[in-house]
Amino acid sequence: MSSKRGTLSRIKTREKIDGWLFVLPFVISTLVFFAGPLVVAFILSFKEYSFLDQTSIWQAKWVGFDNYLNAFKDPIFKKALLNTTLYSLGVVPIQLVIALILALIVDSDIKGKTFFRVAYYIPTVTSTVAVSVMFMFIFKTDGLLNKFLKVFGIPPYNWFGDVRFALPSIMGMAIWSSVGLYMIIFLAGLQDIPHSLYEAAWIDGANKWQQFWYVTLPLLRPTFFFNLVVSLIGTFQVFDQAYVVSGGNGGPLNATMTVVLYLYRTGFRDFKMGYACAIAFILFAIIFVLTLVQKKLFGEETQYQ
Amino acid sequence: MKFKRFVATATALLIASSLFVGCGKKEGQTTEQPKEEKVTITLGCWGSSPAETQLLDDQIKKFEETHPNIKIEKQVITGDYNQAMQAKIASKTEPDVYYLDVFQAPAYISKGVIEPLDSYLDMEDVKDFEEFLIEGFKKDGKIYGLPKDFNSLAIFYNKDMFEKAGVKEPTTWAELEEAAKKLTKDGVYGMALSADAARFIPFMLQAGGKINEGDNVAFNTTEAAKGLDFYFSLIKKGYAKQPKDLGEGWNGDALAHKKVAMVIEGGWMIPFMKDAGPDVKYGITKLPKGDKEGNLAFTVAYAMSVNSKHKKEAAEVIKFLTGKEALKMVAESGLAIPSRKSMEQLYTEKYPERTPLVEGTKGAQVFQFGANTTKIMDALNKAGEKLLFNKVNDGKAALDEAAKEVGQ
Repeated sequence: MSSKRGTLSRIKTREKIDGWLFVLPFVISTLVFFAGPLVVAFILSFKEYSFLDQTSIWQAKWVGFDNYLNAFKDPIFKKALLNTTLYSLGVVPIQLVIALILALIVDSDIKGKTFFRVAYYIPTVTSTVAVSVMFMFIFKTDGLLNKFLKVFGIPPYNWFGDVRFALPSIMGMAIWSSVGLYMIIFLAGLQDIPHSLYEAAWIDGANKWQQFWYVTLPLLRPTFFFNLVVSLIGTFQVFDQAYVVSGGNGGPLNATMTVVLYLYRTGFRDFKMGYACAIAFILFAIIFVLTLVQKKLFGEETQYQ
Repeated sequence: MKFKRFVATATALLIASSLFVGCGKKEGQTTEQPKEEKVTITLGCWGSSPAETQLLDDQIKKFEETHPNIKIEKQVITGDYNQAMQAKIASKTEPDVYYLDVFQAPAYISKGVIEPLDSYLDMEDVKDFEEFLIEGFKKDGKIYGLPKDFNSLAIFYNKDMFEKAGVKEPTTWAELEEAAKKLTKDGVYGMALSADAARFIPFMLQAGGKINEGDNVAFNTTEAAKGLDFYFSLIKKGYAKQPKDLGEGWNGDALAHKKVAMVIEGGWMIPFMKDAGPDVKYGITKLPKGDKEGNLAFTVAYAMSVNSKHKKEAAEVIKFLTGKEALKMVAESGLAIPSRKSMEQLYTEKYPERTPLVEGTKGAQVFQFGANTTKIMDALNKAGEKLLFNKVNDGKAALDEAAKEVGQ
């Protein structure tokens, strides 16, 4: 008996080692390229440091919470935070609603749905920089949008060059380019709903609308939560579009300055890497809290089967 | 069983080790060199036009011919040069010698990452360089970089449009405004102007204003405001348009596409116009004079890393690349104005039509404003945008707000 147990435990230990060996590449790359930098960045956020400093990170001057406190006194950071929040509030709901509608359409029995699925997904796999450049062509003063509006007698406008329209223009671009991703996830969620539930609802006399309202939506809740979290994190981290459209300076008049763009500028252009790290952790805290709140509101796991 | 386990372990290790392939330095390289002491100096630069790349390659080839014991290894940095260079400096893997834009120079110099060159230089020879250019790379009397070439601003104008409108090359502010007014017709605007400090600062200087006094702000004066107001009045009166409002990417496009008659740009327009607007007959003339002359000079120097292991050889490289022979090649290429006074004549002789670019450097200041350069630029750019969007009453108010922003 005892010897048998010994072999068993030895096999188990071996399996454990094998298991670790298999995940080793990922564990190492995570430690080296993710966890390590994360810890260093966190330490840096309490220091005054720039990459040009000849002293090492560890010798850099400790400034305590100064970087964090300064951020909340910094008018440009506040403006960036406001812009990012507006951007997020605008993009997330519109994006998710459109994605859900698209998912419902391509999930139905319309002709050529594979074509539509691909067509809506293509912007997602296109580089955001390429998308931004394309939209700059559309939105420029003699671009497509203005030519279209001219038909209705609306005079041409420099959309990205205007304080009021620059951010909404970027929002429109973001919605267009990422809606496909959320559509695909909604689609997966829709196809996960057992057909028998619709049948039961149909037998009970529920019409299409009632089926959607009482079967589809509640069962999509986990998918919806996932999409909401991912979309919110994505929008709070917006960088590429703002960088390309404003040529890196967040203009006009900081109208397109986002938190990550400001972080990038302070770190690499103003040589304040410690401050930039503090901004990154403030952003992290905001996203983390928002995610917790969402989990409370939407996140309970529901089982209908 | 055992074999399976072996395969599993080996696979895992192989995958794990493959992560680090490419991280290590190529060690075999130095041993392959011939036995004599040959030193390799790395040279960091950004990617540029084929013509400029060719010029640098030719210069390097010449250097290696005359200095058989030194090999130059060019490291072209693509993407954001300033960002990439910071990462390299932080990991102490920066090139021995690298391009240093005058705009970034104060930050790099004050952080102590650049080696002072004085002990390697012949001070008599340094006098040959344009003084205001060297000034941009000096701190506490020490020289931290030798400028390789420079460009300044001038008016590039469409000759046909000037002829048709009967306009002569403007030499004063009043003449500039008059010309812009006459040239604004048939859907064409007199000028393309953008709310870019790198273009309106010359006007602030021409009005007798200053940008900085050492590391302090000095632009919130009525003189500087006068220049700013004049610049933006041209837009407000409708004689000038922002290139973006014309659907153009930058001033150069606007001239190449015949949407404006005049733009304020530098020598980089010449190769650009050859490609983008070969049918546009254009002329070059000096910036107009306000109360005095004023202009900006954009320059790049070769600087040496303090961490270089071969400083003597690195200095040789810098001295050669900014030496008379190398700058003669710059002058002949016409790509930029050579930074040595003795070579400027060669440039203007070969390209007489570009003389205004050189003449325009009288009264010029380098594109750099002390320790707060980036802050000042951000604030001034914003001041320009505020004027453009009518967020402030006049230039003085905009500049006062900008000065406050820098002070924060």
